[in-house]
Amino acid sequence: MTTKPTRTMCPYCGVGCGLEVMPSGAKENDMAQLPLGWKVRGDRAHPSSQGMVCVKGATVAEAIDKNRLLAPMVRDSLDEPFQPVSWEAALTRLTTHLQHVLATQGADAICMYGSGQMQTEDYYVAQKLLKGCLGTNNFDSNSRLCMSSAVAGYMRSLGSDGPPCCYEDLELTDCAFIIGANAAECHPIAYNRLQKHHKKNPHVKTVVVDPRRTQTAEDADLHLAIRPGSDIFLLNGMAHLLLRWGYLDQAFVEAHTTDFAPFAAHVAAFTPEVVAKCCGIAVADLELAARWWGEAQRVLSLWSMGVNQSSEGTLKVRAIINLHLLTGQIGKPGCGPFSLTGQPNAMGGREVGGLCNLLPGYRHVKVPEHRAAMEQFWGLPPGRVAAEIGRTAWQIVEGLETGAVGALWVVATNPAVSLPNLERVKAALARSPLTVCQDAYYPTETAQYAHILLPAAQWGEKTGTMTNSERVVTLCQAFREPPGEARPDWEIFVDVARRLGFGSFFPFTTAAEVYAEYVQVTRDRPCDVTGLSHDYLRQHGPTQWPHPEGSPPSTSFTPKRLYTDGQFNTPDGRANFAVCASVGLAEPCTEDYPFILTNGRLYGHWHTQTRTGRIPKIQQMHPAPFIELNQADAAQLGVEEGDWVEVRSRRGQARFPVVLTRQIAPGTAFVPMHWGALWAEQAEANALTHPLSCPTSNQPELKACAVQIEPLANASALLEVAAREKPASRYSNPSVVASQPAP
Amino acid sequence: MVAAMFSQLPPNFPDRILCYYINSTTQTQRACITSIPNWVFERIVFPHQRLLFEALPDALLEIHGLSGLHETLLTQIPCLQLQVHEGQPWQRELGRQSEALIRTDWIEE
Repeated sequence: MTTKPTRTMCPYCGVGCGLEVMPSGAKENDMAQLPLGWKVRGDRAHPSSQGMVCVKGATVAEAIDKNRLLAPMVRDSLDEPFQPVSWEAALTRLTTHLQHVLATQGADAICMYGSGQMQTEDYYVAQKLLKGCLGTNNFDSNSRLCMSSAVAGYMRSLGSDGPPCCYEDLELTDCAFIIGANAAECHPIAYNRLQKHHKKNPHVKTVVVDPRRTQTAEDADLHLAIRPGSDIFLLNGMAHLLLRWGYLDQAFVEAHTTDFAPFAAHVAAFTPEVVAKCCGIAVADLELAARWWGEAQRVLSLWSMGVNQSSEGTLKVRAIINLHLLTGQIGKPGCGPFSLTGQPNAMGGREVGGLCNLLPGYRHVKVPEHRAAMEQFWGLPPGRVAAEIGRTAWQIVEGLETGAVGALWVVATNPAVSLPNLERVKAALARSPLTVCQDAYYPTETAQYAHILLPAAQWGEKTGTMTNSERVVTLCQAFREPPGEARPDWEIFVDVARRLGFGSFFPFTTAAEVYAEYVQVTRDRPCDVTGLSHDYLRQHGPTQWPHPEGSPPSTSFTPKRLYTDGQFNTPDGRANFAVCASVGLAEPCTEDYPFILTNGRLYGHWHTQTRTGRIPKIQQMHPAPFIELNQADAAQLGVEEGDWVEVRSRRGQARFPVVLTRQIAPGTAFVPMHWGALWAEQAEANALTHPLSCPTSNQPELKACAVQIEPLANASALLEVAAREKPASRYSNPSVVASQPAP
Repeated sequence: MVAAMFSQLPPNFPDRILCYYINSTTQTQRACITSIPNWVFERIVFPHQRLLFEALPDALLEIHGLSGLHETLLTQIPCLQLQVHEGQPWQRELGRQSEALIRTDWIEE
């Protein structure tokens, strides 16, 4: 491979930073050097990140050769070890089972659960196989846990998914309203752009809404530490004040929106006194936030999981958009409702229909014209694309419980850590007749519940596209060969499709050919990328959509905002106000469960640590899980810094050492989400969380659950004893357990 | 690391024994044998998972606990202690499934 830097995109968060990768030790164009490893630097030419990288991006290459799954492996039951087999044997076993399920239970008993780690090409082939050829919409992804409320909110308020803003708006706004997002730690490079602008321009205001005083809140001009679940009260209360104070953009509302009257009538009841009490904040702070919004010329709202991961997630998104419509703060530089995406290609997944309610090209499975368009495009008979929404992530779990799911294919994600109510998830996975785990790494927590492991090529080992939060499509180029027998995900799907008899639908030999077909389904859709190809992206660099065929190639990046003409993607071209009524958290505190537990990311780690856990620098930054408790709560519990507590919800329990802080509201506790069973004993945040979901987006309320917290007596002594006993007593063999029943 | 796991015991070792190990902990482990020249055996053993394997009588099975970045050598077990003797009570209780497993191992050899 050449030592010229290879341009790609960071495979972690949705900021989508451009990276350049070259062999470590090699100088540019120094062909004599043999690569011993890979070094990564920011791509200065990438419009989104402008050369910046965070610790995750800078160290990503350190994990690419650690704990890789190198060959297919199979086993008959979960208590057996995996045996390595050939691809032929593994795929024969898989397709034989799929054919059996098709014959006995039908296509709706087959489910695939993917993730925003997949490239657009991987996503597209999977959609064509499941939703097209097999005729089931049972493809869901971890975007269900991440962005589905944003998708549903945009669709209902603006007529279509798609964040209308650009990162350039971070440097043009004079009021950034950040709600339910700790961007300083979770989207560092986008935040960096905002923070630089904020520091340089004293008139720029930042408001952060978060029950925790995160790093983002620390940097803000105003921190509203609202009670968990009271977001809609706050947003309606701000709308009330904006209307009362005359900040209504009447011309915009009249020309470009609908349903203003019921919205205005609804927010009339949200007086500052009522709202401040519900949210647990001062009236003056509420008024200041509303005043800054009203006075600003360009208000940019930013949100992430704190809004989306909620049983009212869609309404929360719509309540944010209401404020933008009310004040005309959309479709102009520096303003708009901007969701910060979680995964690097969650946006690409949405574009290509990677949720069980979507079809490629921002189409919906419930719309007959959309189904017909895809059937025609794919050359399938009318009616092949199912008219019913498929199984969401949680409904897959329920289907495993009832036996309705006969085969589960997990791709590039780790649901045995990331889904809520883990004990129930693990019990359901243990019942699965056949689970395929297609991943780059091994072991993972989900592999423990798999029957077939398929080794996947990962970042840097395959070329494909990803779309970031600001709709910029980047060609992520391979810079090395996949190790062992690993293959790109799309190739594996094509191989299975051919074995199932659908070979004629999958003539692809390269990812570029897959992409060339995909772009055609976006023609005349909001996310039109018919003007893009792998060659175009290689030649012209990252490009923002829409980019229809015939768009002039630009020599420099010019940001494109959506809705600049006030025309929205609704049938009448008008954006919709929403009446947003809230009942708060799905699981509020009770006497028995008096604390609200929230959870989130840490700066260095990514999701379930499959990569970052294997990088020493990051492990040193965040070596172990912990629980943040307010000092007053800790005093009441009788625990001090470093003491261990047991946290119990109605579903499970976990143990953590205490970190004392004043940065979290009394009655609220925080644990990081990253530690699964492979990385710590009994420290799984999702052992505690519940699956109650937003009825519109079906996104679970991962962000809050009611728990009880109790000091763990003699915890350190117990742990020491356990560690001492491990070598002597924790293995068994026939000679020492001859009198015991076999497990 | 996982690359090594594809090695089967070469056929030029006639003095082989069949061994059994179960991970009865709640921690994922890596089991490996590195004490036989020119041969490495390696398996990930999930909690409560059973492992049947062939080794030489003087081999040592190393059990490593996987916790995060760190691997801890938990124990080294002489494979002779793990040897399966036909007719042992535990083996009868394993029933037909384990017998099938044993056969599979032999066939793959």
